[in-house]
Amino acid sequence: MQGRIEYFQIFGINFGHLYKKYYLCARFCTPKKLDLSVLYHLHTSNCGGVQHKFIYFFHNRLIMRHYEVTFIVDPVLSGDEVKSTAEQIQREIAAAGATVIAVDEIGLRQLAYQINRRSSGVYFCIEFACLTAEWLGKFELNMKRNERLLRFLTVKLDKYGVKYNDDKRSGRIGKKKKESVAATSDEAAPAPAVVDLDAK
Amino acid sequence: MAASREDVKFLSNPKIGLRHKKYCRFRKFGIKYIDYKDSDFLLQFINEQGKLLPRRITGNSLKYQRRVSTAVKRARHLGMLPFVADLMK
Repeated sequence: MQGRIEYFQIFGINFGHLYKKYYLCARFCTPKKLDLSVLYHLHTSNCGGVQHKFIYFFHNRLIMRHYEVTFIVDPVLSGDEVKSTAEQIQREIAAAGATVIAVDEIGLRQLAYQINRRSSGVYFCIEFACLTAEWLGKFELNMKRNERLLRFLTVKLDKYGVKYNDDKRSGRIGKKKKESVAATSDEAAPAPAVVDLDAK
Repeated sequence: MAASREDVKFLSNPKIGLRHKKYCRFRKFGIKYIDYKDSDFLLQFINEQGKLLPRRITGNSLKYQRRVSTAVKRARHLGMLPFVADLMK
């Protein structure tokens, strides 16, 4: 507990006296293992740190908001260009003070209908967490102006979505069909009742 | 030649009167999140023309029917499912 307050003082954030009891709790950092980079972002990003009203607390925990952006890159570009496009978007997210949690490269896929006269596209999906969200408007505008992208979609994830993505990454969910989510969550809502799939 | 009792049994389908009760698969299996990127899964909820199937056929509860519909709409936007199709399945 004391260590946490020290961190706040190191970066000169006023949380110390405002929210004495509160501590950062992102999904990926348990209270014990505090992610310093999150605090650093909070301090350095132009939107974080000062505007307390935009930062949410729940049960004494600082809430990170999770988003997911899926975009389709033009398949005409070379492999390197496609990669650099994705990396550039990642950098943009990181520069805004968000933490990139996972980058899912879905790969080349046939489109169900033509977009900009292309019938296929390279899909990417980036999950990220941030404390404030007002930079997203600017981010989406940049995405819109990016001519290498065919289309994109930013979605806010609820706690089940976060958990689903987490389970998917660790291979707990089958590729074909989702199964009932295992009762592993500690802070999420009451775990779903154990269902026997063979019972029917 | 009158049919005996055993023959009558085969002349009519005994399952005709029975109907399976529909249920919401999300409720039943505890699925809380519907992934819009999983187009194979979402295919179960659209018909051959790519239209959403009504609740009275899929048996979804209202809450999850709403989520299915947003997921399908997102998938359509991303070109994973068609807006209109013919003989999709």
